[in-house]
Amino acid sequence: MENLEYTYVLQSPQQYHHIRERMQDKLLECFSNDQMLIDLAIYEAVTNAWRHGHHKLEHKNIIVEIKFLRKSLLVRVCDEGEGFKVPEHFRSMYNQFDRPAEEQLESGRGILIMQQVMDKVIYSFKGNDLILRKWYPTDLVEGV
Amino acid sequence: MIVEIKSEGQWRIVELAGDIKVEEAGVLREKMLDLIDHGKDHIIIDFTRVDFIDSTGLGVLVGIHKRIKMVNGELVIRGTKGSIRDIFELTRLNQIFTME
Repeated sequence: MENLEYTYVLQSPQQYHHIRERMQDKLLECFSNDQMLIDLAIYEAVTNAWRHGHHKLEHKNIIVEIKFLRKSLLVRVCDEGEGFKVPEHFRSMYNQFDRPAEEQLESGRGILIMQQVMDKVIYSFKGNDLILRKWYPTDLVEGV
Repeated sequence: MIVEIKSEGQWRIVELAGDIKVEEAGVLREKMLDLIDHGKDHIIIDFTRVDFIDSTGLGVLVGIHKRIKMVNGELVIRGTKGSIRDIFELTRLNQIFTME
């Protein structure tokens, strides 16, 4: 698998289509039918940075680094926000999805999607710098 | 996004197409709440032609579902397949909604 790297600076999720258009073929090559789920997980990271990190302001930068490495896809999404208390947020998030329908909240599924789709979801201590990693299916990776 | 709203007896069938994400979700919410407020509280949302849905779109469905339950109506999600169906499953919403 040939290495490929992109870096984008976005101000809102509406600009994400630039990333999607550029990496669509590579995602399909690397992840076949799962490419839409990987694309969604990255989109959710950008949306969270804009919504929670920047409170939907569109003059702040979200830096998105995408690296198609030899055996995995590595994505880094950084925002200029104040971050959040990662462990507390994760605990409360998981509790809500086990509640009955009438107690379900509308928000919070972005991180759940990232965690379900990607192999690694790592937030910085501050919570405004996120790394996502997804290994390619083994039959696509030479020597694995 | 909303292609067509059809009637079948007491049911309103809402056909969606394309992407349902943060940009489109607000419009979807308004249209669905308008239907419910006008007494159309048995709704089938047809995903056959949907290519992409994000967590904001899913959140709108959760809100619509709760509103419909409050008026003793019913919401059915129809026509999900492939990755769209995967998204409902991995967010556990297939256990909350009636899926056809």
